[in-house]
Amino acid sequence: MTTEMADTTAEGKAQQQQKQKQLPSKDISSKAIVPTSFFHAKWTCTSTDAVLLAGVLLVAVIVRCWRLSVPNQVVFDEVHFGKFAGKYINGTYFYDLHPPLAKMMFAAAGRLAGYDGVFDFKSIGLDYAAAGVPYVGMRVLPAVLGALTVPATFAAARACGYGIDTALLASLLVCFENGLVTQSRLILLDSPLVFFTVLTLTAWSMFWTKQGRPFTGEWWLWLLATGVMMGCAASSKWVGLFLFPAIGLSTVGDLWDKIADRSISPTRWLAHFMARAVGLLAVPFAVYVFWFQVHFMLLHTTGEATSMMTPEFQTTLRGGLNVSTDRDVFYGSEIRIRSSNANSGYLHSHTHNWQHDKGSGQQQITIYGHADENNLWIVEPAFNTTVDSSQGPVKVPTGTKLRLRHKTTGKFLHSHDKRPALTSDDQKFELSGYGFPGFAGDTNDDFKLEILSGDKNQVGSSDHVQAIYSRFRLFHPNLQCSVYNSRKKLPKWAFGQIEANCMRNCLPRMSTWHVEYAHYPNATTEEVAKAQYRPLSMWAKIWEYNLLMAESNESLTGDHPFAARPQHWAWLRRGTAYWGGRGHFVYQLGNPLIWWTSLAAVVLFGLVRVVLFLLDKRQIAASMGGQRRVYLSSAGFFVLAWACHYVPFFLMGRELFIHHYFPALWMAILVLAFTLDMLTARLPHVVRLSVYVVVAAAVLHVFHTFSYIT
Amino acid sequence: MSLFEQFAAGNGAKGSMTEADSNLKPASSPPPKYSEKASLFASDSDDDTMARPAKTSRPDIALQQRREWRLSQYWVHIVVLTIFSAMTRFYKIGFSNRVIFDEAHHMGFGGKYVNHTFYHDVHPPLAKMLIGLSEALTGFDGSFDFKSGSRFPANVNYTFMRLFNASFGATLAPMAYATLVSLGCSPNAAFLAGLLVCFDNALCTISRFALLDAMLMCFTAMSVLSLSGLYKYRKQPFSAAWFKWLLATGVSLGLVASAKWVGFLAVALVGLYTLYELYDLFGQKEVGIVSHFWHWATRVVALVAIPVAIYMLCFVVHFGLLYKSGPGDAEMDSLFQAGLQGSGLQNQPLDVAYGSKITLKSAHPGAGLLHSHTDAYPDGSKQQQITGYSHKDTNNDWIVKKVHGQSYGNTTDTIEFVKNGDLVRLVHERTSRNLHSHAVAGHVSKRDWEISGYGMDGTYPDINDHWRIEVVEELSKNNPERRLRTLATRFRLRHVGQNCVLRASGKSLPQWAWRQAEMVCDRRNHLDEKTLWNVENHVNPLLPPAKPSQLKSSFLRNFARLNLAMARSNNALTPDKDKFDALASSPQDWPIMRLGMRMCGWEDGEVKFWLIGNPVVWLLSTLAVVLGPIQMLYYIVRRQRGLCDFAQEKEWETHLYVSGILWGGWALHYLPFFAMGRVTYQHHYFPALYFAAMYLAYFVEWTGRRIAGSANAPSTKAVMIGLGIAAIANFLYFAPFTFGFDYPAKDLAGRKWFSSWNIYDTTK
Repeated sequence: MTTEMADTTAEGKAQQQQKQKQLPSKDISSKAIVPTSFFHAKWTCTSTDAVLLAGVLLVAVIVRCWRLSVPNQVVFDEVHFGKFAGKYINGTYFYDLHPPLAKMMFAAAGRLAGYDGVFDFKSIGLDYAAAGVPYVGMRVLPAVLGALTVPATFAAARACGYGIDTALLASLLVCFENGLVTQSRLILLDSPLVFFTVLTLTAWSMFWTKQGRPFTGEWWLWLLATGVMMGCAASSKWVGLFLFPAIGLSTVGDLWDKIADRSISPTRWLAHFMARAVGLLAVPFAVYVFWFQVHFMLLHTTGEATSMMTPEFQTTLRGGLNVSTDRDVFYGSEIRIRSSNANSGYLHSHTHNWQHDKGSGQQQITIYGHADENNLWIVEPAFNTTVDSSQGPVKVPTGTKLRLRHKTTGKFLHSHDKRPALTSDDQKFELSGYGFPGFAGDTNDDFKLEILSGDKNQVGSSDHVQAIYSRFRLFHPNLQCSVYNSRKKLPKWAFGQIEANCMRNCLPRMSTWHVEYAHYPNATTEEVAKAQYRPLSMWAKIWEYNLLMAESNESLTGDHPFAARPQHWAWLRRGTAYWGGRGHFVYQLGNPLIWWTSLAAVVLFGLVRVVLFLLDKRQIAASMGGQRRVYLSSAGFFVLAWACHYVPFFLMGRELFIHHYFPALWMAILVLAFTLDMLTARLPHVVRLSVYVVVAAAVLHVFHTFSYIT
Repeated sequence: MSLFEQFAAGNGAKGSMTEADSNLKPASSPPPKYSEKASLFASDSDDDTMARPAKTSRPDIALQQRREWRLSQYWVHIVVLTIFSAMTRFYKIGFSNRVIFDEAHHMGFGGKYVNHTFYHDVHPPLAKMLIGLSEALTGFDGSFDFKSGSRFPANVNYTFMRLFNASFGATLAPMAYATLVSLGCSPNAAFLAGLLVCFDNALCTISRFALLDAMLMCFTAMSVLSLSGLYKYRKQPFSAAWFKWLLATGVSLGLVASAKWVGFLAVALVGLYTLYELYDLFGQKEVGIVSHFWHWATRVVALVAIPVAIYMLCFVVHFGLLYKSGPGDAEMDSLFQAGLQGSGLQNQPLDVAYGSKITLKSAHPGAGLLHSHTDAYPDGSKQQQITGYSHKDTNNDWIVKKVHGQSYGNTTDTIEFVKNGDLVRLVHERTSRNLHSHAVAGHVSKRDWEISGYGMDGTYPDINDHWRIEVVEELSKNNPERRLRTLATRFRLRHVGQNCVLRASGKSLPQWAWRQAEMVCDRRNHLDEKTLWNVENHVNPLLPPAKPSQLKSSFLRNFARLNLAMARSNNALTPDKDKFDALASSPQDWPIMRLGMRMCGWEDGEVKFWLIGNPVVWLLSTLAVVLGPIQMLYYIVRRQRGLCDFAQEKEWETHLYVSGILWGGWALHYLPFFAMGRVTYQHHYFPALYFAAMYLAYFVEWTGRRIAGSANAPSTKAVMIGLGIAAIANFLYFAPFTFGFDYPAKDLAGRKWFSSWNIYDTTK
């Protein structure tokens, strides 16, 4: 064994025990509740290790790639991710609530395998073979990534200071975990995610083996590798972000210990601090931004999902929104009014009426996503007032009362003391189209246009309405309410369009509007000033996309039949049916033996930690047969990481699936291996090995039993 | 005023503190000290000798004199603060004769106790019962309904009601003083804390109306005062003084939690302190296992059992006082309602028979009564909607009938009763639809089957209209046939065709069903409370009315149900993000005083109150709670580096403890509001502010001691005096907001220090 552990010798044990007796509070691992610093093992890869690494990789590749072509149909979320790969290949813009890296990897794999982006992965069970899709090539990517996690597990265990036997056991447990196997045989994002998560923590463990020689090349290599891998994990799925608290807490703990180390000068400490800030925060951030940049470069052409983005975003896409409109809005201009807050569309009306029993029965006012004739409005002076346009068109200043006449039906935008269709809130009023030939209208047609903000670079956009540049609200003085975008879908009788109503005490949050198209019909031939959306910068695009992702994540509250809450994951209470047909099934289910025992190992760690905590407080020495430091620091870190990848899910309201547990599962498996090592450390070597063999055999047996649905 | 002398005793001998401590009996003093329990309420001198055994052995004339001088100084301070508090809290208290702000709610709830009508509210009952008491003391006859903004009639003595409430608020400043003295601060710092609390406009304003906050604040202050006493005597566990403060802590916690649920944050503070203390004790090898047991046992009794008992006692009184049916009935289960006078549930026939008209109440709070109306589901089967609805109307009436193809007797002699295991059909009386389920997915809970109203009574016979009665719980006696009984039987309705159970899903349907509760047929055997039902109203002219029911609803069940309902109402107070609410504010606004709040209408001629803090107190205390941790971090980092800043380790430990109580109290009373989904108001910050003000005074003194070397250094004193004068001056400058002003708000334009303050409308 090349692993050197300072206190495996009898002398070391005695020393340690004595030390604990005297200065319990100075011992790092016994001070913190969860020890954040690893044991400083000094592992360097030997030829034995190299052979074993290659060996486990081979086994893992065979297990992951066995009958990879079955089933030859679209399985579960391949529906989405296969389709997205096609979009990358075609360059059509799409939106998804996950970051882009893993999807781009599938696109690359598809491209290499010869996928042309035509097949649309429309529904589960569609036949690949018939459509000639090189799906096996695409599935090889997750399989290889999944297989690589196995040698990585071996390395991580070795780097934490464990022997070849324990490292082998850990990698076998990962290799024969049915859930991880299923997940890495399909075109799903979890295999890349787990891969990057595992590599992050392996690199982090390696980094710790270089603790004795800080700022050397290898030290930097592993630090930066951790950062890059962590960035990639976060760029695959946001679950990767949970690595940050795990590694962050461990770093804070380490830096805290370094303060006490008088041999480290304050300047050197600052260097340590900065190195980690760069490696573990700046680098992952740069990686994340980089992949988004690639994402936007690949998706250069407008697609179906474009309408979800702001107009400023859309103008950056080829074939996207290309607005060029008259800048100034005059009395008599035809305008199209867009909701500035949510990308729901334009203020709209059509020749259908509100229902009589629950509304006024007057013409409907809605918000509609597509530009058509029915969302053109004509600016007219307020009821009983006139504007003299004989000297040329008159601009519309802020704070004036005006009326908006619907161009195709001639009705005025109107509000009155009636409840809107979708609420009984007495602070909200119905909007309707009102008026008929020969009727002059009334004061309920009047709206006060108040500009909330103008464009800094456009002189006068805060004083007079300018298309695109002036953001305003439409205030109804009689009812003291503002035109409001409720973002609620109306029923079928209003064609599922979005509701607009007039709301009192309304914040600008959802009641800001702007003119997207303006045209003065009697324009003289003179050149008129034009207005355009300003295309977004890369940073603004990334920011907008990420905000949208956060929003969609929050609102993902369906009732999927196979959704599972986190309290059921660790018990493996239920799996997810992925695919079924012709007597075969693919059912996402873990290896129960591994799931249950790894959970038990985590719980055991918690108990041991609490007992030690109390014993230390009582100043009773407990060295756990010399295993204490290695076990507490290594298992402690992975339990911390496990908790970071598991506990936050309890706070999430969104729909969750068992595959969200996989990163945490990998950490629990390592804890399991470390625990077995700790428990058998004092047994004779033969006994210990036979325990390992029995465990491995049992796991293999269970794997085999469940392998038919894997 | 025995408690005061105890503080004085502890503090006067600051110089001799260390000797005294070293002479103390070790903390492991065995439980036989139990005998002292008898002297729990013994006289002060007793306390004193027990608490400080070192004293008696060393009569020191000079020390004695100094102590007496200190003692008189404390008394002067206390009296001055009390007079100031009374002056600020009582001055012009009846100036506005209108119902201000939430007086509409809380005086109204007080009136419910006078009228004995049952109501429902989000807050626990204690503070509202006290308001009710103040109303009863004035001889209020319950005829005024305290509508918001209305004028009090001549026969309502609102001035007394407000005075009653304000006297709770007036105790804050002296208690802040006593707390800091007890935590070991100098009289100067303690007096400064008293001044800051006394002359804070917000704390003063909120105390001057009949609201819950003055009482809440008073009980919070009591809790932390008792905690400081407990801290002071922590080295003399099981002494009489220690027991006294332990008991006082328990009682205060019970009171504060019964006033408002925010009071549980004070419970958390005491809980954390106690756990830390016990953990500390655990590390002391000389404390034996038996002693540990007593440490735990006394704390569990005093800090858990007593508060729980007080909290529950408040509800006992609450239920006892409100014995008439009122607006809150529907929140409770049927059995409870039957116990209320005038609920109309007393004299109904007991056994349900075929042909009876009944209403069905869900055991799930919030699901209400089984309901149907003429609207149909917009998709799914598009049949008639079945929902749960809390309000009582005729759309909740169902007729129990036999399954299709069977009939039942309809005379007094042939009447047939419904029994456990019977197959029945429930027909909605208004629309003649049968309660129906089928293999169509639910509308919100898509994993379960839809419940609909189908058919025209017997016109389209369908086996999917059949339900089996499964009795789960029977509360009445003498029911050998297991008949279905009004109020007394809790049962399930199992759908025969699909083998599923009628269940309130706990979710609300969309607007097309008026956001009423969703009903589903549960396929997955969730046999929980949501599947349980009982008959609430029962009409059958063929049956005689029952004798006045012997059924009593159990207190524990009512208690649990009401608390759940309170939690639910609390969670329902979610703000609309798109809407501007002039009264609400968010936690990040509070410490920086971004917003004030208009407490009433803003017409020029009316008396107006504007809720705003004293900027000197608020902003500087915010500065202190921000600087404090930074300063703490500085020392902690230096300690970690092995650098010694303190001559005595004890000094550092004391600092940790006191900061823990004061700063921790602030954090515990403030930070949780960020996590709350409900709408938050400025007055939620007041308990936190109380801690912050005390922390400010302590922080000034401690920093002064670190920098100038002594708490009595002239520079420290100067800062303290400056702070006190500034606070008083600012209070007086903002006094119109606090005491009310009846001239146009525009006249106070100069006091609009931040553009976000809505003292007057800039637009109009």
